[in-house]
Amino acid sequence: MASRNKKNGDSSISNLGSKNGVEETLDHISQLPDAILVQILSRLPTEDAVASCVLSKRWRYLWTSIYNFLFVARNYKKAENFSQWLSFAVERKVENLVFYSPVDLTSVLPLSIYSSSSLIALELTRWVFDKRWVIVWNSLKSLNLHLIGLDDDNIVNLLSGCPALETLELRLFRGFHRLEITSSNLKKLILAGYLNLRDDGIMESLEIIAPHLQHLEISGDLGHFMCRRVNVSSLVTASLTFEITCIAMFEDTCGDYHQVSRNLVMDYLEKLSHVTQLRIGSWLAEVVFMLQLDGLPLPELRCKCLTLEMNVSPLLETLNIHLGVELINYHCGFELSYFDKGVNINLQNWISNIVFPSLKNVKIVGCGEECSNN
Amino acid sequence: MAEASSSITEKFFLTLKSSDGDEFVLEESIAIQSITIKNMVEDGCSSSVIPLSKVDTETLIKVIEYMKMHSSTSSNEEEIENFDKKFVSNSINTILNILEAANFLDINNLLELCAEAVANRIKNKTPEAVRKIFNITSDFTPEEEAEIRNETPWAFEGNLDHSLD
Repeated sequence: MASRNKKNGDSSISNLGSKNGVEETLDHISQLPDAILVQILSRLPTEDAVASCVLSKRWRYLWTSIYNFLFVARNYKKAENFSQWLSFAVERKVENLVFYSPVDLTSVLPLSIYSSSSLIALELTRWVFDKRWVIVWNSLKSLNLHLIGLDDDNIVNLLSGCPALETLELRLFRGFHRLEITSSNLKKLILAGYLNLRDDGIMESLEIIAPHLQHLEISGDLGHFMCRRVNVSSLVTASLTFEITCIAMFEDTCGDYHQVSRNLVMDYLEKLSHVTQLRIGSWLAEVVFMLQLDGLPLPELRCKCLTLEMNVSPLLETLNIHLGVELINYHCGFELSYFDKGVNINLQNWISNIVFPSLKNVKIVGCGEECSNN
Repeated sequence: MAEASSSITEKFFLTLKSSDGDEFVLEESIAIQSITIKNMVEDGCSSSVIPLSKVDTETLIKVIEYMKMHSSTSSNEEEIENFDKKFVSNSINTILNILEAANFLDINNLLELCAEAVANRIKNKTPEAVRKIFNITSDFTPEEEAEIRNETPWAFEGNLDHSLD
């Protein structure tokens, strides 16, 4: 074991480890077992882990046992090293790989990566799919793609190359309009944020056909992107916290847009009526309230656990207390007309009695103090 | 006794004894987050006091605090997250003590939390800063150190932080 540091001078404090706040002069960390030190080093950027070799003789070769590589290119001139590192990792049967880069560095990914049979979890950022590749990720269970453009064919190719895939996560995606998941292994789909490259207000839509899917999460700003014709008959949990941009930013009236939204939401509620756990974000909740104000019959929801994310919406606060007053800065003034009638609504009763008649407990988090005034 | 049907809410308690001789009574369901303690309970050693000769009182208090927060069904994710954040702001020595205890008691979550906290103190720092933070004395000659740095020069490039924060 490492020798104790004797810089303690004339102070005769022994028992240092248990004195909180007393300046420690013992080299405590070097006395920890190798296994713990390796665990600590494995959490560091690999350069830092390797640099630990000069600390003292105790640390000389510890880093050679690390089980994680975390390469952070502090210096972009070194980007060509990525290819080498990644080839090495694939050769050594890497199981979890995260490749993040602020620019497109697809070209540095070695071709051997596309036929890696050891990969279990893969996370790529700014990856550009090339049709020439044949993807064979037979062991891959989790695929996470950030800032990803894929067309419908790419999606088909990709999914057919990952027969064992259980979770697919696409964050800031674009390009495809049909997502058909035939594999019964794929149970979880996460779509977070549509990557809107042109802001012309044109509606785009996505069809999701995934009869075996059990968990669906759609979140983030979808711009004008709408997931329609969703076939998810096996779904158990759903989280819909996305937002769709109001078309009124581009046109004088957003009436049509609202009709589209309503149809969409009605469709969702019908498709998701069998889900046991449902999380609804503020955008969807707003549309549900509009539907309710219109007196339309809503599909009966059979979920056992419902979470409403409403604290983020100033509109909902307004609904409850200062009708219409705070809506001025909202780019969707259309809803205002509903509240000019002076409808006074007790939100909680409304939700529990009308929208979800079989609900027993309602918990509203972060609604603000105005809520309690009602 | 542990065979009692799940509908009975009777609680079992264990007594843990620190290396300083202090005894702490803890609900069994909380204590068995420690695999070491769990194994002892399963082997039938839980009727008497469980001596934890490698854990001092101050550290044991922290570990129990952690186990209580992480087992109680009433604390939600946010509460736990805030607790963990505050927990890792303990002094580095306290963290190292807890890390050792977590290793001995085999509490994986706690071990990971503390390993991460220690790693955060090393991340992006120059070896000189790391030595100061942890009181590590180099036993290399300057020539030896220069030679070692030369083996992996890329590990010492970049804008590293000299501060001791």
